[in-house]
Amino acid sequence: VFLMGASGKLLLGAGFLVMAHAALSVVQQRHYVRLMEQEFLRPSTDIVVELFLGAAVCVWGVFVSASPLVSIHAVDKLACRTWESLTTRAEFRSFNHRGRALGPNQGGADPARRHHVPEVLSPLEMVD
Amino acid sequence: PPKKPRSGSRKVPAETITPGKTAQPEEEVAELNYKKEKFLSNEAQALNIKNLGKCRTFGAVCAGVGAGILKLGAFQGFLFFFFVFLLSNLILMFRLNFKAEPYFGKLSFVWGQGKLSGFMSFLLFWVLFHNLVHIYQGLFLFFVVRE
Repeated sequence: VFLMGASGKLLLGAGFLVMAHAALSVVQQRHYVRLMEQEFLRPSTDIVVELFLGAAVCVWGVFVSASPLVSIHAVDKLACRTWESLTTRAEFRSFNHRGRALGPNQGGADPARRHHVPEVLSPLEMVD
Repeated sequence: PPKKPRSGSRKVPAETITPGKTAQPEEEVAELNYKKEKFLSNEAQALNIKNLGKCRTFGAVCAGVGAGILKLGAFQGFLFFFFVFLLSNLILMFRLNFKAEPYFGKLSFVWGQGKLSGFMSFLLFWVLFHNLVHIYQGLFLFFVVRE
């Protein structure tokens, strides 16, 4: 699952690294300009280009790694509903009740005669 | 009451025609198109707008980082923000194949909505990275101030 959505995250990581590299380059350029006793006005052209590319790659990675858009036409969702799902209220179906303890030997004194009770699914898991 | 379209317009693609059967009658196709136009899901619309807002906010963050590192002035910084906004819209258009109809209803909605939704994040990261790179020279990360 991690690898399936990896392309967007790789793009984001790559764009972030490019921008971090550009930031370090700017700091180095400032240091150099200070040593040469000149005034730092703006970063050099290659750093500017690198930043633009890094920002573009980051934005591209965001759209690739974003969750997919959903169709807004209600017909697509309504057409898939079955007749049974229209009239059921699955949340109101109760499967956990005291009859579980009243089953074969569950209320008995001897624990060895009590059988394993299968795990009960929640109602929401049972509806298609 | 809203008027139904004439039976002459076919907008449904060929995928709805199942193999082995004849093509859908014109009235059914018109009915389907009418339903697709008129009945929209609010949840899906809200999901799409939220998703778009999140992407735009992250784009604004990237724009802020770029503007801060480039030491842009006030006007240039806002221009950079709008440039990144346009770029993100273009990328979205390419991902949607220029068909916004099933996702946003209209293409113009994508361009007109949320122009300044990520602006505050942009300002925050612009100021942060400008100070980090140009004033504190990156040493702020190690809690040391260079004078």
